[in-house]
Amino acid sequence: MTGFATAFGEITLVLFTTLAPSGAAAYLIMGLPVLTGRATGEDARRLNRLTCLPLLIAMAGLIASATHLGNPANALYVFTGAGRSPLSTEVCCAVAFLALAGIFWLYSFAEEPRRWLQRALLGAIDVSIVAFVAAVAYAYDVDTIITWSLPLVPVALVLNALVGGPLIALVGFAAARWAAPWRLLVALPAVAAVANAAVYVVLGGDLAPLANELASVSQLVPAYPVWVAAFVVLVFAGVVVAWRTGRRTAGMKEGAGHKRAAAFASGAPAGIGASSPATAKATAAVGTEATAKATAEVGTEVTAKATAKATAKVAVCFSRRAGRRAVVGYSAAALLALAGIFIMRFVFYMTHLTLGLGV
Amino acid sequence: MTYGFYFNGQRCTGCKTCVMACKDKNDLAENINFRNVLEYGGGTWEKGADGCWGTNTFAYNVSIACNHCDMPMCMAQCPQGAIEKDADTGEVRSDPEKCIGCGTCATTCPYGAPKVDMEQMKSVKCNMCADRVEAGQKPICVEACPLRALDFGDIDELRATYGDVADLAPLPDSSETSPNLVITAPAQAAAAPAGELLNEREIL
Repeated sequence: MTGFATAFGEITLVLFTTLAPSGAAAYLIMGLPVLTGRATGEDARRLNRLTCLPLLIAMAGLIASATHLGNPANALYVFTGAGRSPLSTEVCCAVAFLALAGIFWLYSFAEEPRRWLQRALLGAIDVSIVAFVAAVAYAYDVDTIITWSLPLVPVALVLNALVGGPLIALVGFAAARWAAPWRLLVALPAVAAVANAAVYVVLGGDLAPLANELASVSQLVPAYPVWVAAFVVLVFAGVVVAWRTGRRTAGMKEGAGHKRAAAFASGAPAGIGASSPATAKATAAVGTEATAKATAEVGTEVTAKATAKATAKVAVCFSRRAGRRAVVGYSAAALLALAGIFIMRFVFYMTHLTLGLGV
Repeated sequence: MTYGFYFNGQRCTGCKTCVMACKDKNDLAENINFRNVLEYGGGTWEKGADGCWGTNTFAYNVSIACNHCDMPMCMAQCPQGAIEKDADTGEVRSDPEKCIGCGTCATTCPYGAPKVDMEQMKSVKCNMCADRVEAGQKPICVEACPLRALDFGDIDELRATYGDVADLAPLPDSSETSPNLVITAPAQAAAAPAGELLNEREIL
């Protein structure tokens, strides 16, 4: 008897707990430039519209989980159990997040959206995201399920979200051609992945001696270290791919030399500055480190020195071409990381063991 | 009044008449039992210092169904609020109108009492033969037992008559869910070494 059949029977929940926490974390990260006021105007509009990406990922997970219900027609009763049953609380938090995020997305198409309203909505969404990820982490913390009520189980799920979330957010930022601090957004999942792997190793030690009258964990999950190794390989491959993507696409504006920067500055249709008339405006508005001086220098009389300075200092928007390359690269990175997370979520369901005679 | 079950491990022979009577009355599918008989045993043969072989082997049976616990884990975890405890009888029952068949009750009960009927996709479980109890009779498993190893009634009276033991391997610790269950342990149980469940495939 192994836990494979159990986990396969709950495959939709494996998918849900893989996608939804990471999607939610990605949503939170993608909302930060608008929430903090760093992205305005056209940039904010693009970012807001592209919040549909993490939202769809989170929703796909939720819809997948709903398909395992035998009688979804009765599902509305789930709201009556909020606060009493951890699963009810989880579903309520999920619905709150998805409803608010759905409203926010629709509002992003308003011709003249009110910024304060958008930021207030984003604030509320972020609160619901934190509550949702915490609720998913603790949804399985049931006293009688001895393998799931361990303190490291929720820690592992939160770390999953911190591994997958930033990588998905990088896809969204690239698609929105927003120059996010990619080094930070690659470093965060790298650190989280190290912590996550360590947690899984320790958790393996905690799980090993557990057994009930029907089965033991070593029976349920044969070769636990192999599963963890697969997780480590996939997740770190994702981090490396994200790093390389960041280096390459960042290089397209930083390392491409003065020629492209000069072309950009003079508005010539080549390289990074070629995307659209809005780009120059957006570039000025984006500038994480942009100074008014640097911005003013762009597009006026440009010396090689000034151009180099502007290129280095101004956090330039992705060009469409760089954006596309970044989207592909970061998507591959996110998929690798999610595959690794999926494996360990599968293992989590394989370990299901209720004390006594539980099945 | 809160009802409960009594099981006498010194009488049970493991004949499983209780299991079949329950299955028949409730018209259960071949892969679902509301009551199970667990065969539990262990021990070994060892050669003593005098060269003689001795044994501490043992085996006994435990008949178990839903214990209509005072702290039912199934009820606490059900996201639908579909499981409730009857204020008058203590029956823990599942409302098919609210149940979504998610199986949380089945995965959290340490006695493995609730099951998911895969045809109806609903949680199903022992209802302590509520219809018979209402008519002044005892549940069908109790009536069917040829050894009179089972009894049913007011849990306070059962405890006054038989004591308040509710722990017996391989059952989970009674502190987990406060089951309305009283047990007379089999004679071998007290001195028994650790054993194992011997009829896993029969438990449904």
